[in-house]
Amino acid sequence: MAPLEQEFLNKITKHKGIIFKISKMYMSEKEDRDDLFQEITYQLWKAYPSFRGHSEFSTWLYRIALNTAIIFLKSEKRRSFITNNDFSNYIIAQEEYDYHKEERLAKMYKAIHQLNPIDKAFIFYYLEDFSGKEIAEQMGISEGNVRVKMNRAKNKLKDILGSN
Amino acid sequence: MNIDELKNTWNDDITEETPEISIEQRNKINLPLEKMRKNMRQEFWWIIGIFIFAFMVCSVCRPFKLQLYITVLIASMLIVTVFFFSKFFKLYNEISNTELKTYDALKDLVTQFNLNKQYYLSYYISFAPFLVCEILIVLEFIPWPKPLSETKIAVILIGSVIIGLFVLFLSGRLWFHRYYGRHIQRIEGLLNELKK
Repeated sequence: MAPLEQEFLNKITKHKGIIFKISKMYMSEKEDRDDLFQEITYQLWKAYPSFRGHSEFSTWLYRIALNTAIIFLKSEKRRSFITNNDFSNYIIAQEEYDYHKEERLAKMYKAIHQLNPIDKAFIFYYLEDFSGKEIAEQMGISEGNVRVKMNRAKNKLKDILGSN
Repeated sequence: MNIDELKNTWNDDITEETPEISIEQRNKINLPLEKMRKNMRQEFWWIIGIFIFAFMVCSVCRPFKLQLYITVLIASMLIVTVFFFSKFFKLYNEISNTELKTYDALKDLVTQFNLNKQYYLSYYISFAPFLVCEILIVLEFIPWPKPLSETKIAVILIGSVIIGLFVLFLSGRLWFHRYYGRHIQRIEGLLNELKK
C-alpha cells in the first residue's frame, strides 16, 4: 500500500464514525447510507492529495462530506418493500441493549430526515457545536445569513419533533 | 424531545460498526454528475451506432454522385458530433470540486452544468445546416413523377426546414430535460435554498 494511501486510511479510520453519522442524517435506508458512506470516503480520497493542512483535518472532512451528502441521490432502483426508516444498527457499540437510547436516536434521525439537504447541513454544524463564524466559513455565506438559516432549520426541526 | 436534548442524543450515538472503508468508486451511480456522465457515454455510443447505420445506407446509395454527397455530409456530421462530445466529456471530467465552500461548490456545479447545456444546445442547432443540405440532396436526386415547380421546391424546402428545426428543438429540449435537466434543476434548487 502506498504511504499516502496508508496515511489517508489512518486518518479516515479515526473519523469514520462521524462520516457514518452524516450518512445516517442524509439517508434513511441502510443501503443508501452505506452507499453515501462509501461515496464520501471516495471523494475524500480523491481530494486528499490537495489537502494542505491549512485547516483542521476534521473541518476539511466535514466540508467534503456534507458537500457530497447534499447532492447525493437515493438509489432509484431501491426495492419498494424496504421500509423508509431502517433504524437497525443505530446502536451497536454498547453491549447492553438500551431501548430508550435507541428510541431517542430513531426519533432524532426520523425528524432530521424530514429536513431538506441544506437544513440538514446546518443542523449538523449545530450538533457539532460549530460557531456562526465557522459555519459561515464552511458554507460560504455570511454570518448573518447563517443565523437566519440556522434559526429556520432549528424551528423546522422543533416543529417536526413537536408533531411526532 | 426538544431541540436542546438533541445534542445529547447526537453525542450518545457512538457508532463503531461502520461499513468497510473503501477508496475505490463502485459502479453505483448516486451523484448527479456521475449519472450525467453515464447518460452522456450512453448517448455517445447510440449516436455512433446511428452513424454506422447511416454509413451502411450510404454504401448502397446510387448513383455515385448521390452516394458521395450523402457520405461527405454524414462524415461532416460525425466530425461535428465527435467535436461536441469531446467537449462534453472534457467538461464533465473537470467538474465537481467538493473541497470548495458549500455555496461555491454548488455554484460551480451549476455554472459548469449550464455551460454544458449551452454546448448541448449548440450541438443540436449545428444540425440545422445539415438538415438543409439533406433536403437539397433529396430534392435534387429523388426522381419525381413530374418535375417540381420552383414554388413547390421552395415550399418543400422552407416547410421541411421549419418543421425539422421545430422537431430538433423539441426533441433536444425533452431529451436534455429527461437525462440532464432534472439533475441541474435539483442542484439549482439547493443553491437557491442556500441563497434565499
